[in-house]
Order: sequence, then C-alpha cells, then structure tokens
Amino acid sequence: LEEHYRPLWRYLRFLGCSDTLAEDLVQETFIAVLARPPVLHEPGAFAAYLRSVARNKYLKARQKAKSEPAWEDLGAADAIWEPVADREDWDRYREAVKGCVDSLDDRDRVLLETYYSRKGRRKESAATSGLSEEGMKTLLRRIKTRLKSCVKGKLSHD
Amino acid sequence: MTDWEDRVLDLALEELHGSPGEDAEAARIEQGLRRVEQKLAELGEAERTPATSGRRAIAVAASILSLACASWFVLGRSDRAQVAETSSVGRQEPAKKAGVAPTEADVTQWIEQLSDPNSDVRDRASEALKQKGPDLVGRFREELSKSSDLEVRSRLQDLIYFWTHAVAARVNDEIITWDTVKAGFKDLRPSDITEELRQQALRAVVEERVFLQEAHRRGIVVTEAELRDAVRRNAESFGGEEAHRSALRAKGRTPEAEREQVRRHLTVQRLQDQILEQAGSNRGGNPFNLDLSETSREELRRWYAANPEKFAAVDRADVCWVEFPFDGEQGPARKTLAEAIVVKMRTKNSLGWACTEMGVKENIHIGSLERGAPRPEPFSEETKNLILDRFKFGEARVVEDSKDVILVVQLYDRTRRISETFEQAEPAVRAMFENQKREVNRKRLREGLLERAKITPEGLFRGR
Repeated sequence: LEEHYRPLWRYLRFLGCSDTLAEDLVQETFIAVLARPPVLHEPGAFAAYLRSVARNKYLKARQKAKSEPAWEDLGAADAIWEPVADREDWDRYREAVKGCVDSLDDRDRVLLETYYSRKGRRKESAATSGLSEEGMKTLLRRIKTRLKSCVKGKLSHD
Repeated sequence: MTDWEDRVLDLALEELHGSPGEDAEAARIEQGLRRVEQKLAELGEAERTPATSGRRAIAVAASILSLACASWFVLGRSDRAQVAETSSVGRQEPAKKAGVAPTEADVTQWIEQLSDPNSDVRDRASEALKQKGPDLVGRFREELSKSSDLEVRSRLQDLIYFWTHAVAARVNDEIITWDTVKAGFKDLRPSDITEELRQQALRAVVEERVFLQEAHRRGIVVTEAELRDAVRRNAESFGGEEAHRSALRAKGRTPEAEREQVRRHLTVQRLQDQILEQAGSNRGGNPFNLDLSETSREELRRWYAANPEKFAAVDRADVCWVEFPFDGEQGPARKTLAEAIVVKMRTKNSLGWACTEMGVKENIHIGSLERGAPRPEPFSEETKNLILDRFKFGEARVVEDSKDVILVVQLYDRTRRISETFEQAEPAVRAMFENQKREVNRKRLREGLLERAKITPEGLFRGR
C-alpha cells in the first residue's frame, strides 16, 4: 500500500481535492479495499482499481458538499491522468517539467517558485513579486502555456 | 470546463517547489498507513469477527500473489530469460557480499549499481546496502545530495527511511523491524501502547532471536511430526480443537501464527536442553556457568522438615459472598434480590459480575473456609460445613444463615489434600527444586547468549 499511497494522493489532488481531503480519501480508500479485497488478474489493475474506488469516494465527498462535478468532466480527467498515473511515468513527467522550468528565464522561474512554494496563494505571491494580482495571473498563464508545450516536446522526443 | 492538463502541470510544479521534503513525506505516508491500520483494527473489533480479518489478510495476500503471478506470465519470454539469466550468473555480487564486512569499494559499487539498467541488479544492490546497517546512513545522505537520478534518489531515500524509522533493532546480522514488534500488540488499543511496553516487547523479540540464531547455528530443527504433536497437545489443553480455535480467534491470532510460535518455543526449549546436556557430560565445557549440581535427598528432607504446613492435610474452600442484612419486613425483598443474583450467575459465572449487573456494589467479600480452622464472620459452623461438604466448584446458592442477614455464596476454588510423609512428598519436592534450577540456568543461558550477541541498540538490556 505504501507504494500506492502517494500516486493515489496525487490523483485525488489532480481531481481537485485539498491536501487534507486527499489524505483522508486515500485512507478511506485503503480501508475500503482492505475490507473487501478485489481478486484481480491483470498486472497494474490494482492501481487502477484503487483510483476508481478513490474517485467514487471523491464524488461522494463532493455530493455531500453539494458540488458534484460532471461525469463527462471526470472522464476527460482520467484520460489526461492515465499517461502519468504510474510512479515511473509521473517521475518522467516531473523531470520533463523540471527541465522546462530550468530553461525559463530567471524572472519567470522565480515567479513560479514564489507562487508554488506558497501553495498557490496568488495575492501573497503577487505582493512578494511586486505585481498586481491580475498581472500575476496573466503571467502565470503565459508561463504555463509555454511549459506545457515544452513538456510535450520533451516527452515526445524521449 | 476544467483544464485538466493545467492541473497535472500544477501538481508537478507543486512537487518541485512546494514539497515539504522527502523525510516529511515519508513520515506523512507512514502516519497515514498507521491510521488505516488502526481504523481496520477498530472495524475488526466492532464487528467482533477477528477470523474475518484473518481471512481478509489472506485474501489480500492472495490477490497480491495473483497479481505477481500474472505479471510473471505477461512478461515476454525474452524478459523472463533475461531475469533468469541475471539471477543465476553474472551480476550476483551484492547478494554474495552481503554476509561479509563490506569494503569502501563494495559500498561504492553497490551505490553505483542502484542506477543499473537491470532492475534485478538494482534490487540486489539495495538489499546489500540495507544489510549493512545504520553506519551507512551518513553516506546515503551524502549520495542523496549528490545524485539527480530519480531511481537512485528514491532507493537512497528508502534506505535512509528504513534505518531511521523502520528498524527497531539488529541482532547480529538479523534486522528486526517495528512491524515485527508491533505484531505482538494486535490485541491492544494504540493508546494503550506505551514506550515502556514497546521496549519490553522489543526486548522479548530480540531475546527470542538470540536463542533462535544459536539454535540455527547448532543445527537444531523441530520436525513437522514433533510440531504436529505439540500443536495437538496444545489444543487438547484448551479442551479440544474447536475450543482452541475459538481462543485463537478471540486473541486475533491465526492457527498458522500459533503454529510458528510453537515451533519457536520448541526450538528454544531444545536448545536449552542441548546446552544443559552438553555441559553435564563435559564439566570443563560449561561456558554459561550452568548449575549442574544434583539435589541430595538430605537437602530435600531438610526442606520438607522446614515447611511442615505445606504437607499437612488441607480441606479448604475459597468463597466469594455478598451479604444482605435486613430489618423486619425487608426479608422477602432481600431474598428475591439474592435469588435473582443466583439466576444471573448462570450466564455471568462470577458473583462479582452478577452483582454489578444487578446494581449491588456493597458488602461483597472473599475469604476461605478451612476445616479445623476458625470460621470467618458471618458464617455459622453449619453453613461452613455445608459449603465444604456439599458445594460444587463454581456453584452459588442463597444461604439464610441468621435472622438478620441473607447471603449469596459462590465457591470459586477448592483445595483438598491429605497429609504427606516425606516419601510421598519427595517427587514433588524434587520437581520443585529442579524447576528452580532450570529457571536459574535459563537465566544464565539468556545472559550468556545476550552477552555474546551483537545487539543494536546497545543499551537495550542495560540494567535488566
């Protein structure tokens, strides 16, 4: 389970859970799965099974909070997540992101560091970087667009 | 519509810039898994079906096994051949060297092998490094700060975590993890597990390993037939296989775990017997300074003479009773309550429990009634004789002993012994002396073996 803990937590964060909700849902998923262990015959099926249980837990949590996401939306989410779901794939992806971040100019790199080390608190990061909140938002969007295309290039090249 | 690609990128950037550090992550995951374990234990307790959890654990193991088998079958033939090849020839160095003191070159080579293209070599290098103990943690940290290879970093982090969090002790070359120690706490609530209890359990595990390692070194083995026989005797002592299984279920143990415990117990016992026998046949070779003396008949006789009360006739009943004193018209009501307690005892067995259930908290006593000895209050001589002559083991009755008190009496223990001459008592006295000597020898053997073993942490047995 230890091996599945972090990928599952990451998947839940990807779906939109907060750090703590993701943590709770990972634990609930493990409890549910251990209470009724599945019989699976495909290698890799266990991780996918865990994700499907976790996704249902997430949906239930959202239903409780009366903010249920659209099913079509979640279907699209899984299609995007699948290529990075495994630990090795994720590490490769993260490495590609790191390479692309390293190739950014200093100002953009510092901005990203400031923003993400503050857990995405835009207002605070904007103040630290001497930008307006709106300016920070626009700049981040541009940087991320550049990063996405750089990462795609890197991964297809690999 | 959510931009999911953006989300993936956000996560990667969060990890790159906002991660709390690998050690903190590992601690968080460990804490999370512990919560899962606790929750499962609570669920098991709530359902009161410990056997189910055993079956579940087996089912999980089975599904993991089926996955492992499936992975093996889906590997291409060439992959399988490659795995087989690397496991039989060539890159076996780490595993081979794990048993001997490693040189700096060995350690460097194993660290290099952590990035080997072959996962089998990487695994064996990890295992070899893991065996080398906590002395290398500093080196692992140093390598971690230098390496940018994700695989190497992850393996080094695993090694650091293993030696800083997961390992409880090391006995010679054997590693004992906290998971092994914690297995003994299955029936305890996490809040009841104190540090002292953890250390106590760790000492017990370490001590057993020391004995088992010595037994292994001497080639002592318990055969399957002997084990079967011991398990059968064990079950008989519980009143049959079914009762034994229920007792195990109540303790949350599986028959397999019980069987292994019996095996370990027999092995240790055999080791003690062998060492004692060897020391007895060769007095010069008594490295554990065992007491090999024989107790003379005179010594036994002296002890018999010094303890006459132990061999005198005894007819004693240990009883528990509750008194209901009353005035005038309260009598019938008191008697009804007393009778209700006796009825309750059919399900509760213990007078104390039955009283608690009926809301009676006062005037509950325990004591002994002995033939020939003065009777305690409030029993009359007649009641005393009634209990000694007529009461069966565990029986409870309402006794109206006087005009102003009603009793409920339960007999919970009975001792009947005729007086014994020295000749009659001699075997029992000798057995007692032998047991004492065995206990002394077991202690000396334990101390001797612990002294010879290389145990980390070093102060584990200090002052004990």
